[in-house]
Formats: sequence, C-alpha cells, structure tokens
Amino acid sequence: MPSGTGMEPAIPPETETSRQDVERRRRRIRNYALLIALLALAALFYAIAMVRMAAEHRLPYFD
Amino acid sequence: MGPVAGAPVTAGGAAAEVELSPPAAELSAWTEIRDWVTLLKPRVMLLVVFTGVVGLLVAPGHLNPFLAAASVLCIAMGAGAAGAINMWYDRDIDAVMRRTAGRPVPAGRISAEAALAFGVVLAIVSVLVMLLAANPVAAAELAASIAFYVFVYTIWLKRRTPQNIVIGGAAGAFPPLIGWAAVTGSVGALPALLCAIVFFWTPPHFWALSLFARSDYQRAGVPMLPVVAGLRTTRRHIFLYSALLVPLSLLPWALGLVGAVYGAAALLLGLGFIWHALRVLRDQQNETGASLTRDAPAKALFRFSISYLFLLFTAVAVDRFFG
Repeated sequence: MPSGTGMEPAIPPETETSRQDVERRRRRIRNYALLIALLALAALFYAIAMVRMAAEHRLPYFD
Repeated sequence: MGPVAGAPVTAGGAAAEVELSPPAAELSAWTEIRDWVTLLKPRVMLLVVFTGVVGLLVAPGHLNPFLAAASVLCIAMGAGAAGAINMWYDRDIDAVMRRTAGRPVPAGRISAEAALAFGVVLAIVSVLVMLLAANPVAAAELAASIAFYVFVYTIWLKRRTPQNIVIGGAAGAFPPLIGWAAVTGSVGALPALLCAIVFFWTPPHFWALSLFARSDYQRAGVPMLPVVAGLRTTRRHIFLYSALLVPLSLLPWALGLVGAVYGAAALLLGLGFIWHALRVLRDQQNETGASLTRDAPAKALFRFSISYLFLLFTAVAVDRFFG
C-alpha cells in the first residue's frame, strides 16, 4: 500500500509503544551481550598469551 | 523454538496486517540469547565439536589443557559461524520449509544483516584464536572448513545439484583433522580416515532426513535426491553409501592405527547401520515409491546414524586410552 495516502493500517498507540519497548529492551540486551563477549575475548587473548609465554619460558605451573 | 515465543505477533485491522515482534512481556535476555544460540545450529555443532575433540584426544603429543580447551572452543565457534552464515543465506528457503520456518531470521526475530555480521565476526575470531592457541595448520583447516560450508555447500551446491550433500559433506568432516592438527601441527593418517568416515556417513544421514522431509525440500525448490531422482533411487543410494561406509570404518583397525576395541565397535555399529539401510531399502512402498509406513525406517536410520557417529568416535577415544 503506498504511503502518504492516509490509507495505512491504524496501529493502536499501545501496540506501537509496546513495539518500541521491545526494541529498546532488545537493544539493551544485545549491548550487554556484546560487552560480555568483548571482555571474554580480551580475557581469552590474555590467557592464551600468558600460557604460551609460560610454555616458551618453561614455567611448569602453567603446563 | 517454542511457537509462543517464536511466532511473530500479528495486529491490525481487516485491510492489512502488521507483523510485530513478540510483546515486551515475552522478551527476556534468555529468549534473546536462545535465538542467537539457535543461529549457531547447536545440535550440528555438538557433533562437530565431539569429532574434533576425539581428533584432539587421540593425537600424539601434548597440548596445554587450556590451549586444548581454547582450540575446542574455536572449532565450536567456527561451526556456529558457518551455521549462522548458512541461515543468513538460506533465509528465503528456510521461510517456506516447515522444519525451518521458526528459525530466528525467517521468523523476523533477528535481521538478516545481524545474522550475517554475527557469522562473519565469529568466523574471523575463531580462526584468529585458533592461530594463537594452536598453530597455523589448525587455523587454516578451520578456515577451509568454514569457507567450504559457506561457499561450496551453501552458496554453490545446495540449490544446484542433488549431489549437494555428498560434496558439501566434506565441510563437516574437517573437525577430526582440525583437532589432530591443533596438537601435532600436521595431518595424520588416522584423522584423515576419520574425516573420510564422516564424509561417507553424511549422505545416508541427510538422505534419510530428506526422505521424510521431501515435501519441505520440494516446496523450497532444493534439489535434494528424493525430489530430483525419486524415492527409490534415494533408498538405493542410501544403501550404497552405507555399504561403502562400513568397510571404510574398519580401515583404521585393519591398518593397525587403532586396536581391537575400535574394530569390534566399528563392526557391530556397521552391521546396525547396514540393517537400518536395508530396512529403508525394503520399506513398504506404493507404485511411486512413497512409503506406506510414514517413512518409519528412514526416521529410524536418521536417529541411528547420529548415535552411530557418536559411538564410533567414542570407540576411537576409548581404544586409544584403554585398548
């Protein structure tokens, strides 16, 4: 249906608010998930680097 | 994916319908996370990771347990990445197949662009971490398996040829090689044979599925073997590949790469596989080849084939440690 004709289906205001609310919550959840994933990745890189360095310098407690 | 949380909500008047996301009350961090996990095809990932872990466990040499765990994580991430990109590319056919219509992308819960970005980022990260945690050989094999699944199977073969699953099955066969290479930095005879076993296991496994899901594939225009060549031909192909799989599965024992524990397990499991394939071949059919038993033997073979691969690879590990 072409827009601007005044023929668009009417979305009840409470439904529109609900949709915006869902989008906001979804974005917030994704932002937190991304933060956790980035922190986990940084920790993983750090741990791998430490273990590899320890192995190269033959530190037995890392092996 | 539950129909309540999964199905798009419809609202609007008689003139038009507007698809909406699930109501706020239904959206929780858990449902959101569940959708993203679904993108990774977790059930496929489980089998892939398991075969990779066995490759890693039976490899000669030593890998720091933390680096071994990181390598396994990379195999899981790589498999998930390939699954997410596959769901992005196949969103049009997923939407018309009953089995896949509830997936997050066709159901509209995750946008196609987000699924693609998720898959690409995960693929890059998995290969990069594998390079750091293990070695370039394992990283290259992981990259090759992801690329094979995405470009060769998903984009090139899946919609073009009924042999899609035969050639595309190579992507799922990589993990034993990757696991082995993570420890040794090389390719060995045993993981190469394990790779060949998964390669020959894939066609009967997927063709059994396509026998009872053929209407889905037909509707989506995917040229799976039952759609293109017919049901009888598919049953014959299933039996042929099963008959090739069993002697192949005995080869690691015959070549002395594994012991009698594996040999006995491979023989028993192989006989079970042949028996199930024979039941599929002799299923009661009408004149068009359609099953009169609601494809019960094909469903049984599909279920058995999953257990078969798990048990066969368990036997490899058990044999190596206790045989």
